[in-house]
Amino acid sequence: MLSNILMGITAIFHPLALLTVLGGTIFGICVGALPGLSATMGVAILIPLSYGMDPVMGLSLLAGVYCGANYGGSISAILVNTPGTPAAAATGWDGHPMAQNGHGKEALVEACVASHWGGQISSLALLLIAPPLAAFSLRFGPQENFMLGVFGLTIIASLSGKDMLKGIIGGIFGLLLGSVGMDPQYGIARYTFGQMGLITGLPTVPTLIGLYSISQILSMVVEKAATADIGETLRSVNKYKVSVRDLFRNLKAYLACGALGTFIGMVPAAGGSIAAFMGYDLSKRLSKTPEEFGKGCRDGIAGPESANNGVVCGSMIPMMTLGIPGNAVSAIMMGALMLHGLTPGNDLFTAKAHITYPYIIAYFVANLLMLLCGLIGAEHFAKVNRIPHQYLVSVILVLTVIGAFAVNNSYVNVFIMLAIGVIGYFLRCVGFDMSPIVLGFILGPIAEKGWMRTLIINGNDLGAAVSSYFTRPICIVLLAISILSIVAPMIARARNRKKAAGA
Amino acid sequence: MPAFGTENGLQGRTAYGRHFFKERGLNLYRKEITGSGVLFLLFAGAFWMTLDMNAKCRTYPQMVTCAGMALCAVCIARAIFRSKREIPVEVPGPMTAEQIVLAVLSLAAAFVYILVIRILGYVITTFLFIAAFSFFISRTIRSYSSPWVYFAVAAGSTLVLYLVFGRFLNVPLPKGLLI
Repeated sequence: MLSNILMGITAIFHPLALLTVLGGTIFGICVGALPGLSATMGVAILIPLSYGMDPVMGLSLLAGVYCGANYGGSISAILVNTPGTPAAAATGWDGHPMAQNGHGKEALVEACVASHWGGQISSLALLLIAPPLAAFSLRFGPQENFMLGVFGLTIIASLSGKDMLKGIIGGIFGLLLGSVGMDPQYGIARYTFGQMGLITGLPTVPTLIGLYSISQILSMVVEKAATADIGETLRSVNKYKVSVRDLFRNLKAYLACGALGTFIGMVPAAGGSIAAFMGYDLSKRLSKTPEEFGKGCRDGIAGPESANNGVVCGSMIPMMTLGIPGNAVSAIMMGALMLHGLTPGNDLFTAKAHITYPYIIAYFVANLLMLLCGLIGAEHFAKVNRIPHQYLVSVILVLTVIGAFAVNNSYVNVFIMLAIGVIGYFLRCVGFDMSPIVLGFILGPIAEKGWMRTLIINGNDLGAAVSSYFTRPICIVLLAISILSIVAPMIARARNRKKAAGA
Repeated sequence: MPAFGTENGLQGRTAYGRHFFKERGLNLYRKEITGSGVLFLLFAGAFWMTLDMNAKCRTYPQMVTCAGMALCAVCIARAIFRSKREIPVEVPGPMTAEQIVLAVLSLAAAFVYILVIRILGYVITTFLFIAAFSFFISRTIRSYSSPWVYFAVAAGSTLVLYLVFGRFLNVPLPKGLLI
């Protein structure tokens, strides 16, 4: 492993690779700082760009975007109390009061440092935990792969927000989208309408861009708001000289909350928002001045920021080792890996180690560059909110069209992207979330393949196929976790309803 | 219109929640019923198509479409049940006619852009599209800039995207009649 790490370091410290990560990080911070845009959208629209690049460069670019966007959300949360990403909401609780009290610069520095530490802790976890977990996945046969797919799909219960039924319907719609094209076992075409472009299924990247970007662009046009008014707040950012002490000011909270965020990131569907809220609570317990929380204290920024950046690489662990994307961004990242010919599992850390390790090291570098960018001028990134709405929408629309076209220079992809975008916007309008659809779309074919192979192994005997799942310990464990992941959110929702009714 | 979140003590918690209190009965759940209804029809259509598929490969899509139809039916039934009991629903409020027109025009613009780019080529089409679409959005939000700004932004964006995709990534961007 050490040689792989050294090889990864060598590859990433190439000037061009560093420049790519830096570009991705800066782009990510800008996307995160814009309240209308999300990390998911940022990564989705840059996948076509990464596809045209060398895999190491392309994936490093996306790593930079993911890290940068997760941090960037805190900038608008602090300055205008409008979190750029949902995970940055808790940062605003203390960050915005600090800005209002004339300590905006300190709040921005604290968010940046905490994000950096959280990110580094999770990158380290990815580096150390992922390879042995991937080696364990070698024990998986078709039954285990099917159960993994099922487990991934049960995450929908947690991803579906307040309405589980709609989430599950969305997930099933994703499964339907995933069944377009040749069936994975016999190669017989389904739902292709005689179009050659659909034989290999709906193209992953245009579909993801359509679901996330086109529907988001339409929302921006219709709601006529994408950027926040930051003029007043920017004037209130104070002059503050950054010192080395700032880097270690809350080290205990950075490390503890970063580790917490990493763990939460590894739990599918838990996500950045939960990590941030739990990080806030943990840093309050660790703080010497818990009574200051909520009034504008630096400790209140340290916890949520390090925790929500801990999620970044934490969510990559199950995705890269077992092929279970725990959130929307990692689902899109999985699509990007597949586009570069990389399949999650042990192969990533053996045969494709020359790409995977530089990609993991890129996260370390992205976090470091994010720290530098943030310390040098977080308040300058906030100025992206000054970009007039009309230009932002127009350029993003062109970027998505050219991006979908660039995947394999096909107009069919562009029309597919538009069509999926319209469907996505319609579903968004009637209250369906996009994440379960993406999860169903990505995991459906994996689950189907596992199921079909199990059937064939068991001589097409349905009873024998089903009973074969109960003879394999890993399948039983995965089944138990799947049931738990459906039941737990239901219990939590019922409790919340009870609490709300009691209040 | 009653104040947001006050009528009958109900709390509208979504960004669009203010629309919630305008409606009553089935109208309240119109979006939920429409959404589930459209998806039901989509699943039904997809199921109907599986009947012509090879028997070896249709089991999975049939399972998926049947599950989809069943859950959509449950969702519609739930909406009807809730509408009778006036249970709050958290779906975005209805779109205004202006918003529908905006969405349709934006999609039409994107569609025209894709069609025209094959004839006029990347450079001219993108330049014209960004300038025109930015002006169109400016009109909707009533925030105008000087005409030169539209052209400058359009030229700059076209150039940057051309350099990134056309030169750096070697994507064969469409060449048209002129360039």
